[in-house]
Amino acid sequence: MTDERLKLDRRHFLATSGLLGGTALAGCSGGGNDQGTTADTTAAGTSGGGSETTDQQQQNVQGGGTFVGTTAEDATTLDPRMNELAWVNGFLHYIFDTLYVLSPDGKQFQPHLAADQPQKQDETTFVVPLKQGVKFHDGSELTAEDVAYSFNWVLNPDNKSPNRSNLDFIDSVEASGDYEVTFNLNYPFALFKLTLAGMNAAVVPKKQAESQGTKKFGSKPVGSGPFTFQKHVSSSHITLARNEDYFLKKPNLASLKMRVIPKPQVQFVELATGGVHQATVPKNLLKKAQAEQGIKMTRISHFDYNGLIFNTMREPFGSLKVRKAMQYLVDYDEMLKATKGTLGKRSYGFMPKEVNKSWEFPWKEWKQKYYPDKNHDKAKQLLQEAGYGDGVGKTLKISSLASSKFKNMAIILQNELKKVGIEANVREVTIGQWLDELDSGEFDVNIYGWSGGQDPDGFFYYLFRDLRNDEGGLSEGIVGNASASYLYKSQDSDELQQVDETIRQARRLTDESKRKEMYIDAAETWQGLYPHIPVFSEQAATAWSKNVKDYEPTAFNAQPLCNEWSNAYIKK
Amino acid sequence: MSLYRYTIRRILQIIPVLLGVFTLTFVMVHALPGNPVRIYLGLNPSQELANELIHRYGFDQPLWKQYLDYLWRLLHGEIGESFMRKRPVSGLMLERMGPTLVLMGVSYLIALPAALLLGVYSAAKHNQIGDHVSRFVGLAGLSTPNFWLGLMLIFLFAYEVSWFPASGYVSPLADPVGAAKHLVLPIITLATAQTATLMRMTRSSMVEELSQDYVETARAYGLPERRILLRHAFRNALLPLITIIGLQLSFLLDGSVVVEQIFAIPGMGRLGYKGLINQDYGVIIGLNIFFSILFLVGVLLTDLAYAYIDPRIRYD
Repeated sequence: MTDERLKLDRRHFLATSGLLGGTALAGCSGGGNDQGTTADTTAAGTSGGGSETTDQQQQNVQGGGTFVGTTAEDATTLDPRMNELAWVNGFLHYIFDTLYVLSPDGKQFQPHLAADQPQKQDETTFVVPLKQGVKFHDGSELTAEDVAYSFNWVLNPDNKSPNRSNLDFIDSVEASGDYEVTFNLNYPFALFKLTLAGMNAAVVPKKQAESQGTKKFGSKPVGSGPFTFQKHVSSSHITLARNEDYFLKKPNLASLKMRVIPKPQVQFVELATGGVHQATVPKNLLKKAQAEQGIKMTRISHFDYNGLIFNTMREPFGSLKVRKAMQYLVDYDEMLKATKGTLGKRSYGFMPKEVNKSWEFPWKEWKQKYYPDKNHDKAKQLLQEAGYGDGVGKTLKISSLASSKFKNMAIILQNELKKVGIEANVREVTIGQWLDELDSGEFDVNIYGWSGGQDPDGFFYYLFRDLRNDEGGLSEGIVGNASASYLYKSQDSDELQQVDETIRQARRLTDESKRKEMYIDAAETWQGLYPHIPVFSEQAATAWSKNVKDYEPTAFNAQPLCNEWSNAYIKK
Repeated sequence: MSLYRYTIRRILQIIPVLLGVFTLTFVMVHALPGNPVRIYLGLNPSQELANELIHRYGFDQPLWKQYLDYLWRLLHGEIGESFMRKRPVSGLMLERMGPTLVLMGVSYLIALPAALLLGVYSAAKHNQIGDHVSRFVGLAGLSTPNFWLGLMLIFLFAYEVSWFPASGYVSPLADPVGAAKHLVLPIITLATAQTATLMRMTRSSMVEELSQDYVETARAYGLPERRILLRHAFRNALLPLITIIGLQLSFLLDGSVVVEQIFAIPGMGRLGYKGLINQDYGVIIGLNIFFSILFLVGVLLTDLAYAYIDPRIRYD
């Protein structure tokens, strides 16, 4: 499967990860502080950052041209309040605006629709002043009422927005003035500003959204972004036209077309032959892409990790020694090599390397302590100690989504298991089966992928909290959907409950150093229990035509074709 | 029985067949593990929202009730709604019908005469070099998977020599030249296996006919070989071929799924593929019914064509 999700779209899962082609266009594939490796095949260097154009360039800029991007997957809705697909979230930045945006390096929150940073009234009350004179595409002015409406609509359970849980730290949003909104939070939330920079917090025009209704608004969206919606031909393309009244600046590009091309090989051919301006390059075509004149390429890290997940509610993986033996059993560097090759990096501590680095987690110590090199003798010894020296008495079931990436991982594990006398079947499953198995625990080992964003909360809260402690608990028939849930059920202890509390508390603190300590504590507890073995995080190789000027996609750069830092155009 | 009455009877027979198709499809999609709500919400969903959506769309109802509800809506002309897209399936199908029908129709229009010509030629040159070459080409065409052939054609004719665009679809009504350019590679991909299959069928049928006594007799009377081949043998060889030609429609539907995916053609094949992946019940059922109708009409036309080809056939 060639396919993907986004840094803020934590709940999106890797089964559809091939969508990153489009995500890369929007610069929202979810990356860390990876600077990427821009490969300029004619050594002309990158096209530069700022939006200012020189007199010489001005002639080229006029008219701006049509930028044609690619995505592997069609959009099911263009309403940011209802959308679940990561690449669409990235793309919608061209139609809708958010209160804040992240700088291209991911280090700063720049006020966007907001006139300034949030003003703290108390721990749970923040006032956000708004810019004046921002117009929606229908000509109406964007006011505090629209902002409050947008948030409160998602929060209203009657509207059944799939994004509600991403905003559930907010109690309500009030229009406390014509150009001022007040956020009343349920609790202090560490990811408050980060969330306000994502498409889950897009601002929609109240009047249009109400008069059109959800379905119609999703097919004919009206926002305030740099481009206005023109046409969506299902499974073919989406076209947008320049918003002449965009509040930041007039976009150079006359229009933007997003083509749906499922196969990355075909996306690449279209790019190389001038059919499109941007494409995702698959692993086996990286060299060809580097050799292409007229193409620039960069790698955009995903904020994800892919690994093994053990069902601790079943034997033999109920035994810690057996789980630890699995760490010794496989050369996980080789596993990465055999799956994503150079388009991936080893993960430690259940987080991508970028998160470990930016938070300065002691991942090198973790690597030493929890990720030993392959050693079959040690693996056998641990299995012996666990009472499985003569095999496990059954054929293990390794489940893998029907994707080459996951399947390769499963087969490597199967081969290594065989060497220590353990038989295992690899079962390729559909997405529906895969999710069912994770819910019900009907597997021994599962190959797992998760995209958690650039904050540790995106990994620990979603994968390692005890779901039974959630409001409403677990539904009947569901035991969990990450092995942490199985571990809570099979080996519940004060220590585990303490970690659950830590994970829940960490997201309610704004003191980053305290949060860091808490995540180190959680990471070390979990790593010592080996419920998962994290293997690698992915990168997408995104390439674009050199004819596109002032365009530099990064992992954080929302709407890189026209934002605070750039204003792309097609060179004539 | 008159042709008219026969046709009416056959059309009426389509109704229970369609009911069977619907029932089978309904049972099969619901027998699959997982459900669309779970797939829609992905990993680590809000349990509350999942439960709400399951209830809202009636997935918590007994299967027989879901079946009857669906059947009732179907009888009222509602094919269903795509759970993933929150849109009526009929609208989605209408949007995508054009590209698929054009792709299938043109492929067939090319594959059929090409296969007949090659098949007759091959039979006429039985065990000669022309026959060997045709058989080899036919075997190669049959053995080449669509997805591989499609990608190879793209790399060769779009990437290496830039003769044709690699992907996309242009409506023939909007831009006939552009449409033709975009259709060349997908049609070659789709028509190759069709041509090969039909060519081999035509050849074997023709070889059999050419070995009949009446052919020898005709030759003894000094009839021109061309006339024996086309007027007599070919007409008789057509009868078994027509059955195959009708049934081949279903293989064309299979092929269109792969070809649409490779060449990024926004047709019904891709809609069906995504529907299957996402277990989008409405899409799967809607498309199955549509394709069943298309197939049944194909079979009906095949049966009716028998009378034209062979006047001895009666509709009793």
